Amino acid sequence: MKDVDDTQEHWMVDDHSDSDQELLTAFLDGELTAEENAQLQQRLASDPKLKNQLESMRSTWNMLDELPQTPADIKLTQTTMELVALDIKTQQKKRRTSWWLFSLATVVIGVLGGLLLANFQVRRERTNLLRDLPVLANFQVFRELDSVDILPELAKLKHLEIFLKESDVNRVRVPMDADAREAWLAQSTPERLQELADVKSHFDRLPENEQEKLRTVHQKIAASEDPVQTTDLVRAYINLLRSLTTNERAKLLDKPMDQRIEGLQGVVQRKRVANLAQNMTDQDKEAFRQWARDLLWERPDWLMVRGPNEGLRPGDELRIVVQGLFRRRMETGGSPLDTSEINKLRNYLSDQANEILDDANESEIDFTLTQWIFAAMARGRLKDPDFKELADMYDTFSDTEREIYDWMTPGEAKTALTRKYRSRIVEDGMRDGGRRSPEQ
Amino acid sequence: MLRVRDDDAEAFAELVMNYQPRLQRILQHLVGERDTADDLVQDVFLRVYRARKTYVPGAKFSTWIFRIANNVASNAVRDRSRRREYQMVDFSGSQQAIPAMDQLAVASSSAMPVRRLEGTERAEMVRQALNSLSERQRMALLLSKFEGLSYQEIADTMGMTTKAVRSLLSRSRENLRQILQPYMEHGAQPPGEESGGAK
Repeated sequence: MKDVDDTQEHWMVDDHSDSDQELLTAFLDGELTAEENAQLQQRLASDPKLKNQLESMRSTWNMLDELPQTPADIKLTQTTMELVALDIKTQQKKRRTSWWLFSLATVVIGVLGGLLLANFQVRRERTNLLRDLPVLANFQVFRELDSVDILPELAKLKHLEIFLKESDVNRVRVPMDADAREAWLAQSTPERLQELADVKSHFDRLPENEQEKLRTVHQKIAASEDPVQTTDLVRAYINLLRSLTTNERAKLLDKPMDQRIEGLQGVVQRKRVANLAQNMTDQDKEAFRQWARDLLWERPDWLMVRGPNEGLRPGDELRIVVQGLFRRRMETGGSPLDTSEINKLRNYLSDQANEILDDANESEIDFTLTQWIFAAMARGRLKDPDFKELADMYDTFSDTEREIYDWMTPGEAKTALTRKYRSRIVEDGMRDGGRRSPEQ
Repeated sequence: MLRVRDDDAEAFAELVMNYQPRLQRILQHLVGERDTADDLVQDVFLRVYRARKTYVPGAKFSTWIFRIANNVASNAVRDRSRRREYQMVDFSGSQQAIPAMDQLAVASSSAMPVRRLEGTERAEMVRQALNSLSERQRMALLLSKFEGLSYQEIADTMGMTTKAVRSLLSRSRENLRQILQPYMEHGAQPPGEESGGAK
């Protein structure tokens, strides 16, 4: 193709060549050698016709300046970037592509903003993106916030932060300082950019009033004394609401603000109690065991319920004490634990457990200790070699699953875990295509 | 371009920003229509992106991208000719462009009602004159005029020798001069009009 073209061009050159014309063109284009240039200058000085021809050519050349300039077309730039991103996506279908998709979009906005500051549209888009970054980073949480009125109240809730999840704590935080966001965006990982791109796509599809509502949430947070902490508290608050049943949540949100805060504090306290039960330290487990031994020393009659040949195995102390406490309660009514028993127990418990008890009101203390006692009992019992297989299965449970068994008496737990254990065997057998019978 | 080759999105965005208006101008003058030109601009960037790994460091990027643009435009023009979907401006050579030139010359000469052409009309006149050139003449002229490419760079871009470029540019300038001459003579100082205002 090149040869044909060249041949054609040479043929045309030969046919229409005008050495003076070419010379003048090369002169105007600055393509003459110094020697050629000097020779032409001499000729121009003495040849008015040649000089006229040169001026005519120069004028023609200058007329090309009349052609309209092509203004920067931001829309085309954006669609070009989108097109390329789409092409990458289509061709590669990799996650990295998605990064490009968003990366390109954000970069376009950034670069456009940088290079075309005069363009209002671009500036506005860039400003909007940077402004909305905190909203995008907390999009789902802000959407679930029922009212901005709760924001100033959240700081009043003690230990609300226990509802923060690991993902909340480890999340990358968008700078509150708007000026720092551009750099933050530039340093974000491809995965993070991808997440933001997905969220932005969702955000952009919201009605304008919804978008404004979310922006207002951020504005209120930004205006708070410690915006970073307030954002954390909002996330914790939303996690708290998520942990409630629909009914509990509706009831709580229907209450006036002061009662709502009180109700929320109760939920926080229950969570603290449950957390300690689920993640009981060896110190607290040993505390309950020691406390049970002390009690049995004082109440040898409780041991008499046992059969005459029944030995006392490790971990049985607490179970016997619980049976004794309940029997006493059924006989006398009132609280299962008296104040002196509670105080003795607290002497053994960890500081963390005592702190939770300090924050509990009178009626909650019994409930709290009972829950912990059962937890300590259930876990202690599962350590028994007779329950090894059940205990191994229990270890594979999530905290939520464990909680079901932690609330049971050892006997109930054993029955329930055995049932679960058998059903697992059945499920495994079915997964193996019936090679194993359910009984196996 | 090396950053683009290494998948730097920001670099690619900068590249698009830098070259888009320039490609738009050249391609619009080559194919005559803004929408088509815009499509071609996007096509060029798509090809640049797809071919980014083949870019050889040291090669002048502007030469590379305009060569792609030249190919894209040539293909588009050829396809358009084949489909005969559009009424074409003449791309086939200067000889066939003569009727258009004649028309322009007559239109801008004293044979028409004498008046001074306004800015937009002057621009339209130049645009039509440019369109009367062959595709190759136009490309060479645009690269020289608006991109300031040297003969060697134009030769690299268009796959020609520098000698052929020199000849091509010479003829394109001359063709332009011939067609715009009447306008230059009468349009600048039109009879019956006050002086000043016309360029």
